[in-house]
Amino acid sequence: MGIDTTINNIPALTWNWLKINNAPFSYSAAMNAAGSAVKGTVPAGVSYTADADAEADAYRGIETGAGKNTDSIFETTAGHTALIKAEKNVHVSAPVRIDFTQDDRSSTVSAQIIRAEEGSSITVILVYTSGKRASGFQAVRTICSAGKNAYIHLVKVQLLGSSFTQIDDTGTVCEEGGRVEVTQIILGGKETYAGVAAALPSYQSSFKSDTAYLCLNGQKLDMNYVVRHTGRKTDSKMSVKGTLRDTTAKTYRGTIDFKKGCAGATGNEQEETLLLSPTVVNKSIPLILCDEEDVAGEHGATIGRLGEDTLFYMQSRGISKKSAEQIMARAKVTSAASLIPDESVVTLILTYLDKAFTYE
Amino acid sequence: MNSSWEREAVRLMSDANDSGKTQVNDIDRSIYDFRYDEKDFYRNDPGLTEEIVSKLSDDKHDPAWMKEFRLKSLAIYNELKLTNWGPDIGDLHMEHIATYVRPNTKMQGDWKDVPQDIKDTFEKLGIPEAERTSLAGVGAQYDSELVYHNVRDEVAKQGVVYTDFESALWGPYADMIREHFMHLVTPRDHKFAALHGAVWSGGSFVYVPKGVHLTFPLQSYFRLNAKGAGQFEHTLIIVDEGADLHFIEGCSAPKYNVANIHAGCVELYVAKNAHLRYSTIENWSKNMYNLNTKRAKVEEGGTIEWVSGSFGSHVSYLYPESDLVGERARAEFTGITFAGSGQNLDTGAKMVHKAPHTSSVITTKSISKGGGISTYRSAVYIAKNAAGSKASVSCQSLMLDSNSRSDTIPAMEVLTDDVDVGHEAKIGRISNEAVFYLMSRGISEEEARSMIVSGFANPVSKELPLEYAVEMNNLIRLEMKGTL
Repeated sequence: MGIDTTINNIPALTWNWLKINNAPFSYSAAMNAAGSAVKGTVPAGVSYTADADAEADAYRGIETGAGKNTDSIFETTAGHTALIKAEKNVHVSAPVRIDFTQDDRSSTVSAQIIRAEEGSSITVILVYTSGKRASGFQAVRTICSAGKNAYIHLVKVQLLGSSFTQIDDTGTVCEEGGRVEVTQIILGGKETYAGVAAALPSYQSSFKSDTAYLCLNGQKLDMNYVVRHTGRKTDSKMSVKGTLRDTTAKTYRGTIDFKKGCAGATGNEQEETLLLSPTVVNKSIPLILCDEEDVAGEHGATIGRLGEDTLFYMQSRGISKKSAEQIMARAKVTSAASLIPDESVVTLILTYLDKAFTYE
Repeated sequence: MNSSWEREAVRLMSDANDSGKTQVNDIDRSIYDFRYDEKDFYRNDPGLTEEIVSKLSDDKHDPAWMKEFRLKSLAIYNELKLTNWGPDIGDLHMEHIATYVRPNTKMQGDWKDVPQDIKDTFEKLGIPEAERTSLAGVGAQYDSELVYHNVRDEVAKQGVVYTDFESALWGPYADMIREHFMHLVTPRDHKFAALHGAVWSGGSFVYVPKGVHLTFPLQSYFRLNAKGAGQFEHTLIIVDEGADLHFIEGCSAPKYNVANIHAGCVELYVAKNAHLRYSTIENWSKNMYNLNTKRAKVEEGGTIEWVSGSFGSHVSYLYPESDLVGERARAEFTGITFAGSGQNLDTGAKMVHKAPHTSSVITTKSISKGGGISTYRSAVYIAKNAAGSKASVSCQSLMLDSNSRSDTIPAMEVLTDDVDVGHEAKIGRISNEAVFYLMSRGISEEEARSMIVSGFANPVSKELPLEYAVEMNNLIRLEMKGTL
């Protein structure tokens, strides 16, 4: 199948000359559905269904970050959508881990639904890897549904080869008091399109995301994060931190959308971008859309290279400029990685990072 | 009570108690909302055709190049589509709009020669008085043409040129006009820039010679009295090397039940080490489509400062752009937008850094009430060659009720690493604690809310000349009436 469309569409358009309203995307090679097998044993209190088409119908229509224009890609996964469910009132302490090890020149599509029943909690970790210089295409769609007072922590770690293109699409929804947290680390691939949409339709539901990235050597990263506050006293926090070096390009779209009736809602998004080469391209557009009076929304962004004070401090302690930059770039990733409750995954990230971020 | 504007409200309260008066007096809405018949006025046919544009050009005795420019602009207008973003302007039908309405008078240099009804209009708006007390020169446009233009002798003696645009087209500055007219804002920029190119009329030309510093501002005031008409004035200002100017633009119109359009164009050239402050208080009537375009080009070491208050209009698209083309060029934009019932105001600024060590600061406040929609939209663009540049954006929005809407859409594009770009935005409502605090000291709730909003707007009003700051506070107070 082929696709030629725009993805990661922004909820409110602005000047077209900025080329930030969406990301054009086209792909023409065949795509194959891939399963989502759990690594190791499935923890107690979790039910896992490899082909959950019947259950998947109940979750259709949930907004995702990459958007409806990617639906045709994910139709490929019919019969291969995995359902990971935490039973009612069960707090699953061990994370559920799913590894996607991509072959060179592979082209795969997979989908997962994570459901936490009332009062339960679960962490699901998805790790995408391939050979260092492997090429190919991967599309992943993950839907998270947190029941009343339930908690889902979704971790996505992208360590693909240097010629991979990836669409990592996420949609979340919470019932009353429910909470979803998304931790996303993006280090690999040639082109990555990451989209997250979070719906907060219920009283005191909440969402938090922590994203960290490093773009080197021609990598391109395009992100679209959208939080829709509909329920009363809902809360969202989004943090995006990363580094651009060499001839790389990053686009970040972040939207907090306060819908009418979400009285008492609060939303906050923060972005930090470290720029290390004069050939980088950085685009950012943090939006707040507000249709309700009784809310508090904030966003902030800092974009630039390493501050002179910080650099001076480090150099005065014998650290070279290059090392100082590497330390700061690493810190942006490790702050998000520290939220991952699986030491082996953290080690995998740091090893990848140290290998990738070396100077000539 | 954490925010600076809440503290400012308390300061205002303290000042009020000292003076025994809580606020400046109310103003009568009739100051803006009055109208006169178009007695003996010339009005062209409504619509936008080649014949209408040709006749307009002939009537105005344009040079040949200008007529050709108008017709080319019309072709571009017909070719360009409306934007796919921003407020809906589907109810604006150009086929019903008269693009040229000429009052039955020539431009005068003495108020006593201006027809009585027109003179009364500007008297009510306080223009002659302001001229006497605090301005270096005044231009007053009524519908499509300037009816009064004057500049103080001592200012003229310094070589400052401040004249109507039509005279400038034929006078000693004709070549300068041709060299600069619609070169910063081209008809290709967007549909309404093309419309302006086709039917522009009126406006001012200002030239401040090298090294001249004007101690008093110049002011142009634009009044659209005609029903179902458009105003398309062109303002071209050139501030030469090391010179300094403060230019004030005011605009208003009476309210009609049919659409009016304002598609003016402002082009500002700020030369090396020159300084220009461009202040605007816009209070168009609430049937107005305000589709104005403003742009400044700033050379090495030059500074452009925009101070902007947007209170009127049914729909506004307004984003003054600063093109920083010389090293160390600097731009500041300070603006406030107040969107009330029936208004959809899409405002903001664009900062384009095209040279090293340039800097820009955007500070905006927006207020929405009574079902009004306020959108803050901005773009900060830092080109590859603009190393060492700095940009800072701060926007705050205040929602006064749940019928209103406020959006913030700031974009940043950075093409080099040696930059320092910061952005912050906040949106919220008046805190109950601040209102309670003021009420506990004997201030009514309505007064308290009004004072808090004035405090919120203070960073903008303090940048305006005193009389305009008072006018702005009056407008805020007027808008706040009956919000409880």
